[in-house]
Amino acid sequence: MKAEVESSKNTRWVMRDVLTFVIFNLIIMILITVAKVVEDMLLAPQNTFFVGSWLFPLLATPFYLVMADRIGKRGVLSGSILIFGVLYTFMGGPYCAPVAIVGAVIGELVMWGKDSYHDIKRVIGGYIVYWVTFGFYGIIPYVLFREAYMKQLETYYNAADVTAMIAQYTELPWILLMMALFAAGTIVGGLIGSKFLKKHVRKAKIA
Amino acid sequence: MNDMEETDIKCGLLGLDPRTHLLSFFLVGIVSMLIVNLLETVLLQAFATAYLTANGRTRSATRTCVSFTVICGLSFLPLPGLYGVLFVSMLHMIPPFTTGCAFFSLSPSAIMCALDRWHLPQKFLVGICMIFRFASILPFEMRSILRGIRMRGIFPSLLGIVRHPALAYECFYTPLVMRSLRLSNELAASAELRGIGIGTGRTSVYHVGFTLRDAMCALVVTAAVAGIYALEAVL
Amino acid sequence: MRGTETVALKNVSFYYLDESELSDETSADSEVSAGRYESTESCVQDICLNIPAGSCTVLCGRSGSGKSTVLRLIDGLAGTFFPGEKSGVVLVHGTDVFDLSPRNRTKSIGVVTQDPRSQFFMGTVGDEIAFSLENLGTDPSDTIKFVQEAATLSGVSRLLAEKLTELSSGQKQRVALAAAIANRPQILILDEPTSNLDAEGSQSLIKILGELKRNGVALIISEHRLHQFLPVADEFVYLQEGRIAARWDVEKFTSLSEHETAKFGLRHPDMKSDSEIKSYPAKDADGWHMTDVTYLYPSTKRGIKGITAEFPFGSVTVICGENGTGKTTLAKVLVGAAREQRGIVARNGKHLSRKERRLLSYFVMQDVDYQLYAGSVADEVVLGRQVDDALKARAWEALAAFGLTDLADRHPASLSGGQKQRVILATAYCSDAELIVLDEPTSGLDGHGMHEVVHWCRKLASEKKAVVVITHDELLAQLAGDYIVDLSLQKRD
Repeated sequence: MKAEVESSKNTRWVMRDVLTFVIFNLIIMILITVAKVVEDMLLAPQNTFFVGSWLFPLLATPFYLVMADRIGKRGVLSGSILIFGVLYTFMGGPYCAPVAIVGAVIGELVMWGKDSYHDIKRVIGGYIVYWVTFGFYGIIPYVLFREAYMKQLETYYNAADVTAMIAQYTELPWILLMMALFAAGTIVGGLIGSKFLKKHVRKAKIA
Repeated sequence: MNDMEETDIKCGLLGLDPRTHLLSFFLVGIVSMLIVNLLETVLLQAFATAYLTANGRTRSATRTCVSFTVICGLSFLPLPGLYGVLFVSMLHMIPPFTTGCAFFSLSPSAIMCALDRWHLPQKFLVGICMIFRFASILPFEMRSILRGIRMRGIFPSLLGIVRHPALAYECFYTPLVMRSLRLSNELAASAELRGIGIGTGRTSVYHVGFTLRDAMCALVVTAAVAGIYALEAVL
Repeated sequence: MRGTETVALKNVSFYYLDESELSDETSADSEVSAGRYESTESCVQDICLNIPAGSCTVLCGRSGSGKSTVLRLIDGLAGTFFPGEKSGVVLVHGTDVFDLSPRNRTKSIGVVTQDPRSQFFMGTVGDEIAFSLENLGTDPSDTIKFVQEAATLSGVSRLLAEKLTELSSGQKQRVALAAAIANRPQILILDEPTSNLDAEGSQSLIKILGELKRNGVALIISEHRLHQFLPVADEFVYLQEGRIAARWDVEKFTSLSEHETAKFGLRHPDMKSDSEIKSYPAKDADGWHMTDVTYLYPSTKRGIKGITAEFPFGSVTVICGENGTGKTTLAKVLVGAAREQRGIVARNGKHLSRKERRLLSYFVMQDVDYQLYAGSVADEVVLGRQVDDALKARAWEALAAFGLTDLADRHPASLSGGQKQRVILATAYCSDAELIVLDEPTSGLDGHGMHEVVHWCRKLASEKKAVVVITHDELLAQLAGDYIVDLSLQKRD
């Protein structure tokens, strides 16, 4: 039995890191799912675009910051992107898997460098990649299943109407707006999370 | 050992290796992305339901079928905006989700053993195991936190939460983070002592291993989904 | 399960490198909790123990004395999972515990912790018991056989298909024991195994430990409720400030008087309250009254039925009874967390609505971690309220009353369990609540800690609050209660 001392200085993940990773990612997923359900109950789909884009990262980023700070090793961001991608894949969206892989690679490249996970600004910046990837999970179905819903909705709408409906998820200006909202939510969530990290987690010396 | 053998129902009537369920899920998922017509989507869902039922998950199969029917019905309504598009997208997600339920309803023991045979890293397997474990703990923890907030009387009514959303978030955030960090620590220590880091070669009391059944099932699933896809091409 | 191997600690000293690992060890008065700990100080020093096969050693001592650290040294986590500097040697079967492979360690040592939540990995009882065996690569037919043996010995063989989340705390503890012994370890470590069990559950556990001991298993137990282990224990080892300060065999330990055990900060079954406990308060006593109250959970149809009880202001009422008699359910109805299906809850004769009860009461949960939200002790005491000069003065008064003035700036999560409890009690003291409920406040506390809880309850009662204590700890009920509501008797009636 080899001693695993001073795990925080190693780059290899230890069991504690794995469990921390799983539990915090599950918390984030549960929060987002609950927020999504409430959002869908209260708002029409074209309006959820304007709310979910900043609300989800606002709720999730404070938890992500704690996880990133606690583990502090390469793979946190890419793993988080992949785990969400796997969840979405099993929720019925196999198309999410390649999107997640691309997002994970880009995310980890953004976080490349020593001690990047202890730099709050970099962590927040990296987490924006997470949300951009998340945004693409929403965009891809509108592209992939376009023919399917065109066919089904042609009873009531012509092609131009359907195209107008899905503009929010297929046209570049709308996509850029979505990404900007994600970024804004992540930054504000990061500011809140950073305050909580210092006020609670670091002060209590739990992490 | 009768009680444990009875729980062998987790292997279902078909008694398949967990990896066969994964394969079925991916096959149904790929075809679900490719088909366009409603008829073929319905056939795919019917097949996925039959698959899940044959694996002993009748209740889950019924639930997903009911959901599919409801959403299908909703997709025909002339609702404004993105509703129609949303429902059609969901129709294409339910068949692979239905198939995936066969995998997720298995015991973590069976899943870990099966994935171990693919020589996946131990920490990955531990992560899988912990997903199941934490998925059942976390709702309990969240409910306890909400109960704790109520019992301390910080927000006597819901209006208090609306008036002080930042405080409400902090009251939820702080104990959840502290408990989660502590729990991950304690469970990690326990995991070391229970031998989770021993390495490859884990076993399971559940059936794990490819047999003729798995080959037959893979063949049937491939034929079925290919047939559904071909049907669309023909029609 | 016979074996001749032993555990031996030879002049072992250990100190943690990470201060936060000490959170389980800190106590109210220790150097650590006061923030004066320096990392070069040892957590345990010069520990010498020799535990043969088929013996039972009980580690005792005040909170923070090093019991958990000794257990971590034996199971090999201290110095590896919990980083630190160790000197001396810990031998398990004659081999340094650090040299044991994970496989051999899992085979040799079984561990049962205080909280089953922190040791369960699977969904069902059968899967949980089989977990270690599966990790070891045991042949499935052998796994099934060993699981059945362990389940039968632990009394959970009928529960193999049950979900762990649906078990009672006593059942969970027995499942944890079965899981620890399934791979037939020669050493079994138990960390406060009876803290969440009632008397019947504790007796049942001790019988099982006796059987294991007869089968040659070396038992090492850390506990506060010591006298119940007299039938199985061979030696009691008392730790004080990280050192072994006393050792007693069973005869010597039994002969210790209440006064002598009090000096050591240990519990003694003859500990008595100064005042007489009454069953019923005076009829016209001011306070809350519960008349013929029924609440049954829709899913299980279990709960309380036709309960009548009084909770006078300025006194401590203990609600006791075995696990499953409805103590917490009664308290939930009392504080308005659940709506009674029959009967009424009133205050000085006037009916109280659920909302009114919620506003006027304060419930301290068994696990206070769920009720701590602020960044400092001082902020915690006034959380959610409009802070003016009057409240500030009251808050400082509360901090002083509960000995928390020196800890005002500390983060509540960095405190020991007993200190956290005091923070919540100080918050209750400072609040407008007139009825305060404490749910199992002495779970895991030593004799000194229990006396402190009694003292704090009295403090709250002196402020004319109605203090309600839910407990299965008979000793606490004797010491703390002015009045007793025994739900076991009410159920039989």
